[in-house]
Amino acid sequence: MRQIVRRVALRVVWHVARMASLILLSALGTVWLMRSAPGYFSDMRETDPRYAESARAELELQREQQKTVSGMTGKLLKGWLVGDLGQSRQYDVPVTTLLRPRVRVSVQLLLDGIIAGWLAALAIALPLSARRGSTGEMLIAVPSAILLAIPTGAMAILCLMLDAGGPILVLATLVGVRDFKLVYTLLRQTWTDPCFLQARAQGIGTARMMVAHLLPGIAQHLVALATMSVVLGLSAIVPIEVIFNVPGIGQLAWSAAMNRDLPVLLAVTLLMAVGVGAMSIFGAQMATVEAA
Amino acid sequence: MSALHGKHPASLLLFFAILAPARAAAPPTELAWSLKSDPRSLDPAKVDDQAAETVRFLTGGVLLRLNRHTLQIEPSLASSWNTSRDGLLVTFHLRPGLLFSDGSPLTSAAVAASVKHVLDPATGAPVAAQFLSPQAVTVETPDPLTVRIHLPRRVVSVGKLFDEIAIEPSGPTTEGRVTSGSFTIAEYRRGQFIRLERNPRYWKHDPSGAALPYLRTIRLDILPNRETDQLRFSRGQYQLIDGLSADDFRHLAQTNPSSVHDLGPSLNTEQIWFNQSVSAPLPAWEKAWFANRAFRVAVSQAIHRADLARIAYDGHATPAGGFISPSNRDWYDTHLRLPPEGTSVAQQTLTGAGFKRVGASLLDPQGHPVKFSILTNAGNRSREKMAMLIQQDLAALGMQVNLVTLDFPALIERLMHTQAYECALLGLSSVDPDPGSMMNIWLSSSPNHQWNPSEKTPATPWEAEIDQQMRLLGASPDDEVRKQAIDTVQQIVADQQPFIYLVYPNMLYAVSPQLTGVDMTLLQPGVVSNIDWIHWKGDSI
Repeated sequence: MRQIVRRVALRVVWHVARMASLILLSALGTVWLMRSAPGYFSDMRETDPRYAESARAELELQREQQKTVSGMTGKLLKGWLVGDLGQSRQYDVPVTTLLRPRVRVSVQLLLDGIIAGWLAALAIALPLSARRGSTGEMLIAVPSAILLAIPTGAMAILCLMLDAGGPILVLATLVGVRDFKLVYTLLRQTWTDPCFLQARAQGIGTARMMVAHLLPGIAQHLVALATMSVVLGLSAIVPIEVIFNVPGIGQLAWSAAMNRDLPVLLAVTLLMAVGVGAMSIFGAQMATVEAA
Repeated sequence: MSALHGKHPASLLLFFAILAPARAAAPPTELAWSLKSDPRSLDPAKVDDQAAETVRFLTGGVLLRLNRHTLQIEPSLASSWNTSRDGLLVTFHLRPGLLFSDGSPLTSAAVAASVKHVLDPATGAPVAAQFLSPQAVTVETPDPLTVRIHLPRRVVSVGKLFDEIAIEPSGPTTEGRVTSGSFTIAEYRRGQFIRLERNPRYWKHDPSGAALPYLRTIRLDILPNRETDQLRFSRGQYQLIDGLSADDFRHLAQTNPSSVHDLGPSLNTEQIWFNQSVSAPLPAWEKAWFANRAFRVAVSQAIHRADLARIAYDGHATPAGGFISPSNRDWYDTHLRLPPEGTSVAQQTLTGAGFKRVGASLLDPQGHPVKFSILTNAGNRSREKMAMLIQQDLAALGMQVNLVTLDFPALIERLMHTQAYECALLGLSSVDPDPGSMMNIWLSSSPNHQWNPSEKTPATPWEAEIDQQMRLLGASPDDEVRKQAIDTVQQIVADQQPFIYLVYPNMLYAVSPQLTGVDMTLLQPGVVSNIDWIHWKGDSI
């Protein structure tokens, strides 16, 4: 047991160190890319004779403050260390005040979407996997292949146009379809274990076997898969929030990119990097525990 | 035999639950429409974007209000006002018994504080510059109902400026929470919505004595993705669309024809121009084409503007010849002489300037093939369609035109900073019918003099003439002199074509049939210009 704990602890340290370097690299990359993006030091209001003067004055000030990429990165990271995420260029308010309510919205959306997706995947995979024939599998293969082929944005637009479902449905479909295949394969393999085959032969009910033996046996696998759903959800959240106009961090990231709002974009990028990194560590640990 | 039999109502229920419409359309309790972005500031003095301007209009009480229909200045918080003969003293007499929304009295002291806040350089109010020497302006309050403003220099149409100064309580700005206008800000969630509530102490009443505004609450959704505007309107979630696109107009007209309104040509223009900046990183021969009047005129002649209006705007635009829209009746020059339109006449103009056609290509007098790119912003379908039509029109002359679409920041960097472009297609939104507001575009020294920004001295004699006429327009109190000046500028622009005007897009709005009292105007805030009088059909008022 002690050995397992030690192994897990070592892996956690390794993952955290890796995540910290990844965060640093993404910070540098984001600053460099954004600072070099065309139009970083421009403002739409410059073309409007009424507002051009104030826009130019603001830009001049920013140009003075953000002369070099290294200086900018240093300043931003220094602020991060003391909990200051900087000031939004677009809204002229602290980034934290923008992020706080939006993180809540996005987390809620992710939770709802992932839970709904998983429930749907399990609701279809559990009965199908328990069947002996492969008719059900074939029936579900076509629609799931079609759904997998549709890009998230297209799916969201379709829902919006048809007024059928909302962001949760899109996220749930995305998660459900991708996880269904994995869950189904896992369940199918488990059902063919000799112990389950024998139990079936002895006439033990499928539902009883499922609840008492099958699901507890594969719980760790399922949790590891669920962590990957979070990563998948994070990657889909930008188009979904933009199309449905959900005031979450995905929409904020898009708006920050469009408006060259570096402090906001950096904060959102790093937040997502931390989310993805944490989920990867968690998933990897589950695998370690399972292997041990 | 299957191990699990029967149906699975739980899974079916789950699917039906998530497939159900995202939000059922509930009967509206508040008037709702959308803003494209969050206001950059809720301090009414710092308004420097469209969203903030709308919020200020709805919440800010002003001394004088510009009637968006008649274009006359009308008394608002001030019951009367006058300017001295030399134009250096403006006196306002406030209505007695005025109150802010929190019940505190609105007196001359608050007016003086609000005006000073706007004129303070630290505030950075865009309207301050229109006072010409804002720091030298002094404000005097001889009694609680009188305000005297001393100007160091005469300001033409000074009354209009007070339409942009919201009167707030003295002290730090309440950011619209305490106002003297129709509404107050009750709730603001950045990136989501602004909820406005009726100001119970608003001074205005209808002829029957009922308090205005009629509406109790307004919700302004922050909706950067404007493509969903039309969907939300169709579902009854919004009751207004301010500035409908031609495509959306067509869709809505099919399903709900009584809700869409075309007010005719707006004051806005769509135009192309060639980069004539000396410092532009372009080959010398291209600079020579763009500086050549005949070249610009030929391009203008070759463009079939009626097709642009018909195809790119689905008929909801009017071909344009100059920078003043025919809707701007006071300033539009009905005698403007424009270059004749047509491909053959354009070819003649080019031939006269030494350009020659060799096969399918047009060559300049030095033998360089004429090819250039038109730069415009991505995502504006009408503009992209216009650019394609222009491409076809110019191909008939042998010009090879490419289209480049960029997002706004990248586009603006090229136009305003690097000058790395050949030809641009953009629009200009005109918010003030007085052409004096276009001073920054026409003065050759201005950074917004797009075709050749920030000229140290006018690059051409005709630009020097425009400068002179615009200065006259800005300084003269005589309306006839001003009209003469702007007519001269309109004719110079028509002759020289530094901006090649394409169309005046029509002003398109959508208004829910549930509303009554809506009186749309061409000027901003257009669809809600008479917000005080809008109410729900069937509501007792």
